[in-house]
Amino acid sequence: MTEALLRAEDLVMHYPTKAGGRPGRRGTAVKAVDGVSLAVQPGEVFGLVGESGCGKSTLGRLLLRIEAPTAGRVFFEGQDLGGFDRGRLKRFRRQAQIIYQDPYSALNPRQRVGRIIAEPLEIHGIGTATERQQRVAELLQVVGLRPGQAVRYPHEFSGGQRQRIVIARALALNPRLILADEPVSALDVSIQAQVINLLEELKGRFGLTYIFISHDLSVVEHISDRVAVMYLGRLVELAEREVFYQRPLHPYAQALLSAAPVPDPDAPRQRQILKGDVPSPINPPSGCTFHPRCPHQMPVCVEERPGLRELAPGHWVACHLY
Amino acid sequence: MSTGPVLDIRELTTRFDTRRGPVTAVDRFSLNLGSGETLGLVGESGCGKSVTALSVMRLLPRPAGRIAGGRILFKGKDLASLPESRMRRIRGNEISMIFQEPMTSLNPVYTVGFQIVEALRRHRRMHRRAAREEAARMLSLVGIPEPGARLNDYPHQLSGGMRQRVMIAMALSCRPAVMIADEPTTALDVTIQAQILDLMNRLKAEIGMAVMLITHDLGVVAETCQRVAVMYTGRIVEAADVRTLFRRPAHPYTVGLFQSLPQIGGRQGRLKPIPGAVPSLLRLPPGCAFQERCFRSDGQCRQDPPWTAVGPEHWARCWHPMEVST
Ligand SMILES: Nc1ncnc2c1ncn2[C@@H]1O[C@H](COP(=O)(O)OP(=O)(O)OP(=O)(O)O)[C@@H](O)[C@H]1O
Ligand SMILES: Nc1ncnc2c1ncn2[C@@H]1O[C@H](COP(=O)(O)OP(=O)(O)O)[C@@H](O)[C@H]1O
Ligand code: SF4
Ligand code: SF4
Ligand SMILES: [Mg+2]
Ligand SMILES: [Mg+2]
Repeated sequence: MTEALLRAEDLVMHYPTKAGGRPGRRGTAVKAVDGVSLAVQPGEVFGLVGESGCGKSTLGRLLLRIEAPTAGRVFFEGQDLGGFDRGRLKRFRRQAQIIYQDPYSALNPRQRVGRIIAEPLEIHGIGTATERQQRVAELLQVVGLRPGQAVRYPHEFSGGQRQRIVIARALALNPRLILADEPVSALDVSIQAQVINLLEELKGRFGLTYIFISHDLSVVEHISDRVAVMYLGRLVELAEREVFYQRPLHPYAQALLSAAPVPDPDAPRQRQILKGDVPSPINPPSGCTFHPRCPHQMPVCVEERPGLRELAPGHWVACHLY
Repeated sequence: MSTGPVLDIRELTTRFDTRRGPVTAVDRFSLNLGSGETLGLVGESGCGKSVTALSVMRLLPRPAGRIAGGRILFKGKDLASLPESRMRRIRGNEISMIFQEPMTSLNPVYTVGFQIVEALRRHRRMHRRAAREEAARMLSLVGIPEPGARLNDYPHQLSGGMRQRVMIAMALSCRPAVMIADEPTTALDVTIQAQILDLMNRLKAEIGMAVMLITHDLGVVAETCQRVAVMYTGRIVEAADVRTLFRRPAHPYTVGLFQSLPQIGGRQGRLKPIPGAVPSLLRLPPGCAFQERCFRSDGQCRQDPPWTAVGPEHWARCWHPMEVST
């Protein structure tokens, strides 16, 4: 196997909870990410799915060192990001960019689009003003907009067009890795399809690697090479896309797939409906954190946390059933 | 099954006065709903789904929004012209609504128990004690554990899924004839969405009410609705029973919506999006509003397209509908 582009070892992120907790319970923390290891290969699309609050965005921020983890390490091309000084971290930022969900709040409403896209170039002191202008024109074309639109303001664009602007800005520094955190979730399906096509086209054209976060299982199936499922701060399953969608092994992953509504009135429905809600990450259940909702719960599940084990080549599952 | 429509909307038109001029958010909208039936109203954001619902409920934001034409017939009355005092007796009682974000309709300063009890006392004229028992029964019906204790909780103490259940409990507590659910599961996770849809399906059968389910999710439609109407820029562009609409969509916009979806069961190469974007309601082209994005448009589409029967109980507003004959 080639060297991973990005590798995480035992990442943990605990946010201390603030006032409101009862006295004597001062040590409580939100366990947003609770021991995640993974490796992203160059050129792949690594899909990350899970329900709201399970820690996807937090994990993403740790992977790109937008935040420092409570514990654990991240390596980019074998180099430990934790050991980087400011200069090297800045160079890392040129290589790894992020696209957020909301194309409305991601853009400064008072700046012209050209200025927004050129901003990373300015921050990194790249090119003369004229060269930057040329680069902006080029980037606008790359994402399917017109160079003339550089003088417009974000509110003059539709949601899908704004997400194109966000993508253009992320591409400005020629990154190798893009973390896309729910990049199409705020868009209507017809526009969503436009943006997904664009992301796939750019990947081929510029040899990009994506970490693609989404709660939409069909979008992740469409775009990803491998899929990781997260539950309460941990990875519970990781597999190649076809393997995962044909035969998910973790009971939570199975429930998640069976819950996704299928746009076909004649599709067979053997829906497995989970009991209860996702528990709070402040006080997660013991052992396997999925045990209160799991239809296959066994005594050991309450006691022992199952580790992520490789059951078949490339297929990792954290469950005592296997 | 049904004995004539319980709700019959005819040529409903709703306008807003905006700074940039009047906007027709709902345009000559006709639809009926039979009791025991779930009808899906689908379309992209801004197409007028919520405004339609708010028009029926007579909850349009005032003074900007108003019903400018048409009738909303419910049990022999025209809701479009009913005085507010009489509408108040129907709203939340005979016709109730659940919203996408339950926090907007639950009052944060009262316990959920108080809010359900008040609704029961007002609409079903129950005494406090009986109302409290009924409220607990409703909460257990919607699957909330320890309903008696939960009555004392404030909305913020509940998870999103629980709040939506409470909303449903409130909406159902008066056994409405019609329930309008506006994106009831859009803000929820899929496993919680599955619970709520399952719940709504069961309760609908039990109470025998008619449901208008507003959603942009074709998967949700396929799983819950018998009939579907598709909206685009304020107008219904296609209507059919769910199987027909999914198998043989006739309007090019509906066809485009289906083609935009990633297919289940594998990568199919590139997706087929609809080109362009929904036009602004302030700058609609003359004739068919979809013409700039349509793969079948021609000169004729600059005239208003007719509402055409393309099959049994299957209509499309289009000059050149797809061939759907069986
Ligand atoms: N800065 C922070 N301080 C305290 N808690 C936080 C912080 N950031 C995230 N959390 C908590 O960590 C958990 C994981 O949050 P995160 O945003 O990573 O979830 P997510 O999987 O991205 O969810 P969504 O699908 O809703 O975007 C949540 O319980 C969240 O409330
Ligand atoms: N209070 C309002 N004032 C002006 N325009 C409005 C108002 N509410 C909705 N609209 C407009 O009406 C149209 C339909 O909106 P809506 O029914 O909310 O769409 P959706 O189908 O997403 O529910 C949109 O163009 C929207 O901008
Ligand atoms: S470890 Fe036990 S509780 Fe957890 S998913 Fe597996 S069977 Fe279920
Ligand atoms: S009327 Fe014309 S433009 Fe409109 S949907 Fe039909 S073919 Fe397309
Ligand atoms: Mg997130
Ligand atoms: Mg709406």
